[in-house]
Formats: sequence, structure tokens, C-alpha cells
Amino acid sequence: MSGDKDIITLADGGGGIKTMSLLKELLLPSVGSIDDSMEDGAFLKDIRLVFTTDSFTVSPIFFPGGDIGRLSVFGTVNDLAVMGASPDYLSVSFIIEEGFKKRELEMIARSIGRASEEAGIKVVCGDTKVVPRGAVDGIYINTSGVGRLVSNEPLIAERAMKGDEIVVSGDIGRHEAVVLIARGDFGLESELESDLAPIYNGIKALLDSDVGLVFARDLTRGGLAMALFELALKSKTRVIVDEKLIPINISVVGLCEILGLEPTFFACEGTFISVVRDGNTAVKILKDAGFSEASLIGFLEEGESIKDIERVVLKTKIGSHRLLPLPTGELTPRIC
Amino acid sequence: MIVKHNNKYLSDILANLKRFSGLKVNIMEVCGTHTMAISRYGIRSILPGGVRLISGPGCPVCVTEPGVISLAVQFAKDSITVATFGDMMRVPSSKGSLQEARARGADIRVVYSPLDVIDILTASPDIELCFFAVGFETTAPAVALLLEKVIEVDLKNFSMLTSLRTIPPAMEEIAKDGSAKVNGFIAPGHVSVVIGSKPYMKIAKDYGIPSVISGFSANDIIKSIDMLLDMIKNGQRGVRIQYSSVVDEDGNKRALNVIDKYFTPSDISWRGLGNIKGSGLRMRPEYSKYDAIIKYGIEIESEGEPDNCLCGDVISGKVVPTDCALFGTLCSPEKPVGPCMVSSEGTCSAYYKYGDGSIDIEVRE
Amino acid sequence: MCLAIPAKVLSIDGKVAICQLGGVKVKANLSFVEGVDIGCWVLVHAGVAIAHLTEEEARETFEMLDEVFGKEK
Repeated sequence: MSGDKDIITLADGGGGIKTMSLLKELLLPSVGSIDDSMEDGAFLKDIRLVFTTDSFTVSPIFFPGGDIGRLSVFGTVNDLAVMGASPDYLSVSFIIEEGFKKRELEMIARSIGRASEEAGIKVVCGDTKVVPRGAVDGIYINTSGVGRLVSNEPLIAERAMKGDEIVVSGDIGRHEAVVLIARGDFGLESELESDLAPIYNGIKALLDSDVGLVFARDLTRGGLAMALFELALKSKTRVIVDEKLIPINISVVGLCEILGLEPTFFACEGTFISVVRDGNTAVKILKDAGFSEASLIGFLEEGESIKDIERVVLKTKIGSHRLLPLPTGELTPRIC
Repeated sequence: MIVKHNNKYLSDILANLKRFSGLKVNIMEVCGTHTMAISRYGIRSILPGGVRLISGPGCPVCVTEPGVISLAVQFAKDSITVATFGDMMRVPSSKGSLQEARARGADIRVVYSPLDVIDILTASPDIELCFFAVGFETTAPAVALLLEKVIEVDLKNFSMLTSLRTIPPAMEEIAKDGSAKVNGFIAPGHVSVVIGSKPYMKIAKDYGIPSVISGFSANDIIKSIDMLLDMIKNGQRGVRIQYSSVVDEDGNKRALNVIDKYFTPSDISWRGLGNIKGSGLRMRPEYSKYDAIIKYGIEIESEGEPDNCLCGDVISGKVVPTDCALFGTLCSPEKPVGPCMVSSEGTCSAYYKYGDGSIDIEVRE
Repeated sequence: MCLAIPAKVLSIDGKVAICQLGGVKVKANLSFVEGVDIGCWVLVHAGVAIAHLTEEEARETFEMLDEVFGKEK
């Protein structure tokens, strides 16, 4: 149709289907022999460590509930946690635009320090680069994390199977909603705060119990919808969730109504799904661990021979069934 | 505050629908937002078997001629700042999409309200801006307000590429054409807030096709279908208002007056329906200096449809998306061929994302 | 693009009101509605109020509000 094919567009970085394609078709084959399972982190079998990396370009850098520093720590801590690894060591690299205020850099650095303490992770190495005005917008941060595998095996979607239950740890969509509003493009305001938080204690509590935790995934770019799709795809199941049981804050609903957006696509930064055998007990455990809105939202059905786009089904509040759509290219840039 | 769902009345309404089990009828929901709502609530799957819902031309992005979209893209490439509603960004045209133009460096601003354009021009007084005004009677008053503000301060660096349309002529075209075999219309909710219920009376009387003006919640839509089936069953040639909290017979007089002040009915082409007399809104001649077509002295070129794309037939209710060979194969939201797959209110997009209502699950409770 | 939402008027400055739906504040131009005061509900489309409605009617239109109001009583 058009020359879309020779340039990277924002949609390619959205975390939805286009990002998966970019990885599968260009990046992974070009880089060569990499594990192409596309999990949140890499499990290094021989030394039983999980290694993960993430870059943060969120705009605005300070938002209700957090900032880019805090986000860069918890983002990586959570990627380790959902693989079943403890938050052990972190590297932090800054790319700073010439002209960036020192005071703000200090605030961000202190925030990183505080967040690391809260999450129980140690910052052990890093890097700082300053680039000319305009080469980046303000500040970008990359963090890489390494942690020992605490669960017997890594928590991966392939381990999920028919009959397993899906628990969400809290209400969805707050982070992206907050960033969208804070960006100021739409002239909207609210009292909402990001759900930005470390999730390791929740995962650990589930691992220490016998609910049968096999998979966990934090709901970052692409939100709940993308997480459920990846789960269904990799485990070759059909996921069925009940709309009435998915917790959501009324301000997120309001925002989505106003802008015509889909809350299940919204990124979260402190909310995750877990796949377990015993959903009800898992909910109790999570609530005890401080995840007050944890909810059992669905389960896995047989799905060996169904079409990929029909893998995630929603039972609507009127009792009908329809597909849960996949986020494609409409996602907002610089949410995390 | 976490939302808790509570649907006391719905089971009664759904049970009542069963009294129409014998009917075999086609109901057309005109408005794109209704199409999306019907898909999101899975309403198709809970209706009596003989009731078929087909989608109409109420998606302003879908019915905009491709030649106009290419023009907007061309403006962007020619260093004019283009302000547009988000929905238009990914629609393909012969010159690519607006999103693609932005990726290549064009200055394109997504606005939620036409009035945002004033803020943009205040913040950047040196740019040359063109507002791509796409919408129906719901949006026309807001566009008129923008024009009013522009005229007030005599802005020289502003123009508008207008693609404004009115719904009743399109509904009449579908009724007249007859090939969609529509027995009743679910009339648009918010367009009707502005125009009232009277404009749909002619279609009811002349063609025997009743309308019910519906709200957008699952309750509203199912109640409206119930009311409409009742009218069809009893041969009532009239218009009823389900969305009575905000719709009445006369509409919003102030809004209608301001539309009339700045615009005049024109003949405009609808993708899939062809030229429909008096179905467009064109700026009155005294404001023509703000009309981008006149300001830049260009013509809209007529463009053909992409090969095998059935958007036109989908928009006019002649086929459903799953009848199109490209649906789900060569045409999907990631790589759309036609606007019905791209637009957030496009019928094909609704079917692709939410299914066609035939998901049959035996679910354990 | 029939997308319009009911919102409650929090403050008015000339022709522009700040309204709120479920905790999110949005601006609405009041040129097309009459007799709107703080506490009224309006239907907002693309930054413009196109109709006036009562709180009861707003609750019916936007089901989620039902549970919120229930809690406030």
C-alpha cells in the first residue's frame, strides 16, 4: 500500500502485535543465536540466574505515583519477579540531554536509590552519557537486572494448561491512564495515581504456597489483553475471562469513555497476572500480601486447534461471549 | 473507586426478546459507535435467530473519499501542519497514511476537540495549519465554533479541509436503494441529540422503515431493538426515542442554528454509496477563504478502491465483513486495506476484534 | 465518531466549564446548552456540551455511575 515497510513507526514499539513482528522478523534473526521465546527475562540455566533488561523513555518524567527513576527500578525488578527470580542486582545507565536540569537529575537518582531499597535490589554498576540538545528528549534510562531463580523452574507460559486459573493482582490500566492525562495533550485532569510498585513479595508469597503457580506476567505495554494473548498462544490454550471480575478504577473507565480507548490495552507497572491451579487461595494470599484488589478473573480451556485471534474470549457483563481484541498499532508512545 | 457491575434489568429485557422468535428481519444500526458497542457487548449472539443486524454508513472516517485523505497527506508532506482526529491517522490512501507521513517528519497534530486547534495556533503562531474536519451533525457544531473563533481573530494561517456529512440523506439513500433490505433502523444517538427525531419521519412514512433512536449502553441497545422489533411486527411507520434523556423531537436549536450560519448543504460523495444530494456540509461562500480547497487552489481527485476491497458494500449494508475475501487474510488492523478495518468505528474492525457474534462456548460457571 | 459522555459540571468560566466523569476532568464549551449551573450534568462531544441531563439520566446512561452513587449515599 504505502512505504510503511522501510521505516520504523511508533506502532512498532507499542508492545502489541507489531512489536512481536519486529522482533520475530527483523531483530531476532539479524542478531542471531538468541533464545527466541521472548519471555520477560532470560533464564541462564547453567548458573540458575535470570537476566533482564529494559529501557525507559516515559514522558512526562515525573507523573502522579512516580517518576522515570522509580519506574526504571521497579520495571526491571518486576521482570525478574515474573520469571520467578529474586531482585538481586541492578545496573543503571543514563542518556541525558544537554541542558537537563541537575536538580531533576538528582531527584531521579534519589528516587532510584529509594526504589532500590524498597524493592531489595542493589545497584552495582552503571553508565552516564550526555548527548547534544535534541538528541534525546530529556533523559532516557536503561536498567538491567540479574536475580537467582527462586522457583524450581522459570515461570513461563508453556507450563500453563487447561483447567488452570488466572488471577490478576489488582485493578488494571492505572499507569497508562495517569501518563496520558499527565502528558497534557487532552486537557484532562484527575486524581489517579500510577499503580507503579514492586511485585516480588506477591510472587514470592505465591511461590511459597501450594497454589501451583506456573506463570506470571506483569501487564506492561499492551496491558492485560497482550498478556492474556501471549499466555494463550504459548500454552496453546483458550483463555476465558469474565468482564465482571476484572477490577478497574472508575477514573480509568471514565478516561477510556472520553477518549474512546480500550482499558485492557493500558499498561500497568505494578499489576500482574498469575496462572495457578487454585485461584481462590491465590487471591487470599495476594490480598494478605497487600494486593487488595486481587481477583480471580478466568481460566484456561483446551485450545490446540483454534485460530490465534480467537484464543482470548471475554464473557461480557450481559452474559454473551466475544473475543478480547489484541492491541495493534494504536498504542501511545513513551508510556514506560 | 473500583467499578462493580450490576445489571438488574437486563435479564428481563433479554427474556422479553424471545417473543420475536418467529420474525425474520434485517435491522441496520447506522452509527459506527453503535456498531462497536454491539460488538463489544456481544449483542449479535443473544438475539432471536431471525433477527439480523447489519451495519450502516455512520463511520465518518469510513465514508470519507480516499481522494480527500490523500489531499490531507499531501498537505502534510508540503509542510502544512495538519490537525486531525486520531481516527484518521492510520487510514491508507494512495499517498500513504497520515501516521506514516508523521513518521517521515510531517507535522501532524492529533486533536480530541476542534477547539484544540485554537490552542495549537496560539502556541505556534508561525505555522500554517489545516484542520481536517471529519464528522457528522454531532461534530459539526464544534467545527462551527472553531470557525467562529478563527473569524473573530481573523486568523490568516488557518484553513479547513471539510468532510462533514449529514445522516438522514444517507439513510434515505439506503432505503431507496433497497438492496440491503432494511426493515428497521437503529438511529444514531448523538447525531439525534443535535437534529432531533423529526428527520427520520420521512423515511418511516415513505419507505415503511421505522427508526428507534438508541443510547449506547447494552441496556439501551437491547431495549431499542425490542422497541424496533415491536414496531416492525405491528407495521408501525414511525420513529421512537429510546435515548430520551438527551434526544427529543426538535433537537438542539442553538447547535442547528450555528451549523446553518457557517455551512450549507452540498452534494458530496460517500465511499460505497456514491454521490448523495444534499448530504454534505460545505462552508458558506462568505467564509470560503478558510476552505483549504479554495485557499490552495486544488481539486480532489477521485481515487479507485483498493483491489477486492468491499468497504463500500459493508458501509451500505450489502455485505458483512466476513463476506469479504480480504477479511482476516490480507486485511487486518495491523495492515488494513480499507478504512472499515482501520477506523475505531469501522465495521470490519469491530468484527475482527470482537468476533462476528458466532463464538460458541460451552463454559463452566 | 458519535462518542459523547455525560459529565458533571464542577466550575464555569464564561462559556467554558470544567466537568468530571468518574474522576477525570474534562473541558466543555457551553455555547449550545442553556441554564447550566455547577452540579448540572451535560453530554460532552469533542469538547462541546450538546445536551443537558439530570443526574438520574446520567446514571442510566453510564451504568458504572450507579454503583458509585450507591456508595455516596
